[in-house]
Amino acid sequence: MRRRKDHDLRLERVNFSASSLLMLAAALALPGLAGCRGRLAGEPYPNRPIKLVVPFSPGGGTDTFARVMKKAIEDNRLLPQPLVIINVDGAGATIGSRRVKNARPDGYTILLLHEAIVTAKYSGKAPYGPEAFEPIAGTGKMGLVFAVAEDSEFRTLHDLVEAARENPETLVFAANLGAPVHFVGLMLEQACPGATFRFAQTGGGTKRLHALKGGHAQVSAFSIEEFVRYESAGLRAIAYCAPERHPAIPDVPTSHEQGVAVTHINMQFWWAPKNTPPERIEYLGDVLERAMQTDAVQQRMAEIQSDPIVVRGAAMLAEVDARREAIAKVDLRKTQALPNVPAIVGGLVLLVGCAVVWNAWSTAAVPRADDTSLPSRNDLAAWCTLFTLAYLAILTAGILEFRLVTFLYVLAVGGTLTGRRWRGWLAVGGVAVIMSCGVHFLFSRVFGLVLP
Amino acid sequence: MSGIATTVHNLWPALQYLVTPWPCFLMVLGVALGIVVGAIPGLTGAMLIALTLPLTFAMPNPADAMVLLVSMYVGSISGGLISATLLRMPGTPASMMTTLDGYPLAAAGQPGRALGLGVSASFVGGVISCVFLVLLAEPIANWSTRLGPFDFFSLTLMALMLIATIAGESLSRGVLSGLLGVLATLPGVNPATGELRLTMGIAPLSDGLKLLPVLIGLFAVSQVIQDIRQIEAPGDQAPFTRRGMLMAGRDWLKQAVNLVRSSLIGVWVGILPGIGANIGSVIAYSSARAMSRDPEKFGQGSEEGIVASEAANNATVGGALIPLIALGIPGSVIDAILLGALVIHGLQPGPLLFRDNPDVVYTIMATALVANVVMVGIMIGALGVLAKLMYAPRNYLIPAILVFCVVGSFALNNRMFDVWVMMAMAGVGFLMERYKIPLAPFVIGFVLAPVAEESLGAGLQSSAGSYWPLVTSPFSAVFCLISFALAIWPLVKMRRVGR
Repeated sequence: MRRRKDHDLRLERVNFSASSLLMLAAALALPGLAGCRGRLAGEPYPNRPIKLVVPFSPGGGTDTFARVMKKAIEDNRLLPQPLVIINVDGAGATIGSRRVKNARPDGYTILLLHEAIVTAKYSGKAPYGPEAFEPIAGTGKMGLVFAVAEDSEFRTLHDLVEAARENPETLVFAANLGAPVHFVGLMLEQACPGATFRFAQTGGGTKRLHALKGGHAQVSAFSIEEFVRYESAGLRAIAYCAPERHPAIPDVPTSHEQGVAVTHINMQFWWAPKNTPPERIEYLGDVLERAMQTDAVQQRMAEIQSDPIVVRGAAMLAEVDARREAIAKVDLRKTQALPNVPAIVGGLVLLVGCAVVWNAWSTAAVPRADDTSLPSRNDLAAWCTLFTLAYLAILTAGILEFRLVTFLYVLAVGGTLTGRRWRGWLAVGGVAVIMSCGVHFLFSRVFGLVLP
Repeated sequence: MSGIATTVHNLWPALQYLVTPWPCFLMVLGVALGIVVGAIPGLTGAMLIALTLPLTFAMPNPADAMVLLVSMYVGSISGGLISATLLRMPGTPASMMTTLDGYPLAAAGQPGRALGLGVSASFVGGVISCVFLVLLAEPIANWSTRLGPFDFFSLTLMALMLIATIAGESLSRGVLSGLLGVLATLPGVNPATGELRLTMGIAPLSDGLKLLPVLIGLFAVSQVIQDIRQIEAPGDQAPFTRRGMLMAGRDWLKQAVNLVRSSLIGVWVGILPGIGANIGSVIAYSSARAMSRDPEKFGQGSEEGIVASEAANNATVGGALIPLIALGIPGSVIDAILLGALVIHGLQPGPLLFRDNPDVVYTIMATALVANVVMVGIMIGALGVLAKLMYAPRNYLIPAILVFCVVGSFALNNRMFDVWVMMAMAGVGFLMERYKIPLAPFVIGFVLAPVAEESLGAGLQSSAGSYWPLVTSPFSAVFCLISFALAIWPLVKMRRVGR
């Protein structure tokens, strides 16, 4: 009896605030509903936001470039609809590229990905390469440099290659295995027969910088942007991997000047799913080209030491093919054999698992959280779990709009827990509106994230 | 010493600049926004800063941009403790260790106390790390680059061994939990070779299980299921008091050693690239437990646990700024974005920054310091309201938490797959708690294993398969020795008890 009273008391305390909850809910719902129109508008091509998938986390080089382009496109009204950036990070950019590959080819989902699209295929991370997409445009051009620590004995590419010939597989090359930085090292080996390096998994630019500074690796490769950023931290470039010198680092000789024909120029490529209508590709290409010509982008390209060029159609495919050829030629040999971690961990889990079970057996009953003294409503828990699973299934299938399905879900769970008290239901309805429209507003309007 | 005198001399005008209206406004705004995104799972400080960065292009003074961005950084690391303590839902992974003790303490009727301890510890951690940042940035940063992959490996190995000390009542259950955590990191990209493994033909699994969905499922959703089952249990009627919210003199004395140790661990871990706040708080928490006089309280609402975790994660902010300012090497994702911001504003990061733009350097330092004060002000002001969340009726709170869990897991990487992972982990967490397998070791194993595996791989790749550098490098040798001692300690203890 007393228990029931406590429960009611807790509900009572909030009922007086139910009206204020409802008011807040209404305030949030209005702009939310206003956003619902749009789909019904006319036929012309971009009549809803275009999603740009960036397969890296926010804040990286590609993401920053995408955001600069987005700002230029929106400031100059180059697109009648917003461009929404979706970060889908992971597994060497293949999670994001797979998303676009499987997207509907209607020109509303596009991908921004440099030549990792090629390296992912050749390092076995994805079964597809650039052929699975329609090329829209390639923008900007940025090369890689080979760099060593400031106090390194290697002054030229020649010094490095000679040392690598004398002691094959001894000089440590800090790499991000399976990524362009690794491939450029392999290309160097290929161009200088007999010279081999010891490739060690190091990771992103900062970690490679740390490894060189601390003497844990002797050489690594950096994009020009990274190099210019980290140069004063103690890096020295020994070669720029291109036929001609770069204006940002005019003193650094090219690899070709030093008699080593390694070319590695990176470009940001824009892709659409296969079979996207050509006129939409053409349209998007025009928008990107005009965005590249804006002052803001030109200035930004100068800052990151990138040539602000745009290539489209056949020219872009030629650029991609050149990279594919260079990368396909490289022999991706096995690096150092490492301990078989899955086997070790699996074995240990089995061993300790058996020990735990045996312990539990020998000390009689399995100890459980002592919740028997309290009434437990497993039926409510089961219902709520069921509602949650249904909610996730609907979101995954994308049948209903996020706000509507969230509203229904909160109503279902809250209602189940409230029981038969109509005032409680009213407040739950308020919470449902706040959660659906409020969360939608916060995540998609303020943070520009796309909800399922 | 004259170096320190110059620093302090230069810091003063920067501090004065911060109290003028415009930077002051930016700082309060930045900290407040940071706290909000920190408290909401799925929104991260890195996201907020990446979004704000283009807006700062228009600011004529780059120092103002840094004021705003660094304030956001400080706020976002601190905000996580709110949802971790009140809802058992870590708003950012960095506050996951806070959930272990913050939630039990709050659930026992002391939400104000739990939050207050967290805020005070965050403040101390932040300030101690700033002291290091201001006084010793350069020597520490130079020294830190000497740590190689084997040193990283033995450091994480040591932290993994601490699992044994954290195991709670049953050693074998704790170790099992830790191993399961390691097991959960295996599918996806092998961190040491970049190759795929154990994906079982499921394409989304090639990116492995992400930390935030795992944490949210394990802690928040499994707790919600438990709450629903016991919705008819009498609620805590203890009225909310502000008593104990601010740490009293006695508390400070009691926690002094813990605060300093945890902050030092945080600073130090923050300096190392690619390790970050999560691991800083894990190591500090485990060490606090290992050295505590009543370790059995950990996981049941131990004040020391909250203090250790929060002091350490805030200390990593200042720690990670050290190599950024002194050498131009960013210590975390957010620092990499800050470095990008400097470049966009036409500044050259690295050692030359001190010479060319000392005003910006000192503004960054001063902001890191003052933002912590602002953070405490905002949090203490809001605590009274926030702590009432604990008493909100469950039938409104539960659906709201669930929606945040779903959206938070989704938003981090825009994938429904992560949400299903969260749901599966909720089941795992529920079962583990039911069979009294502690959750803490699982999380520690899950966080540390990839770092350990990657650094061991990198080490072996650069030593051509030789394990010798593990003991020939002095740092590594010390860590290995401690790991060994930790590994045999429980056995020794058991023998002694047996006698």
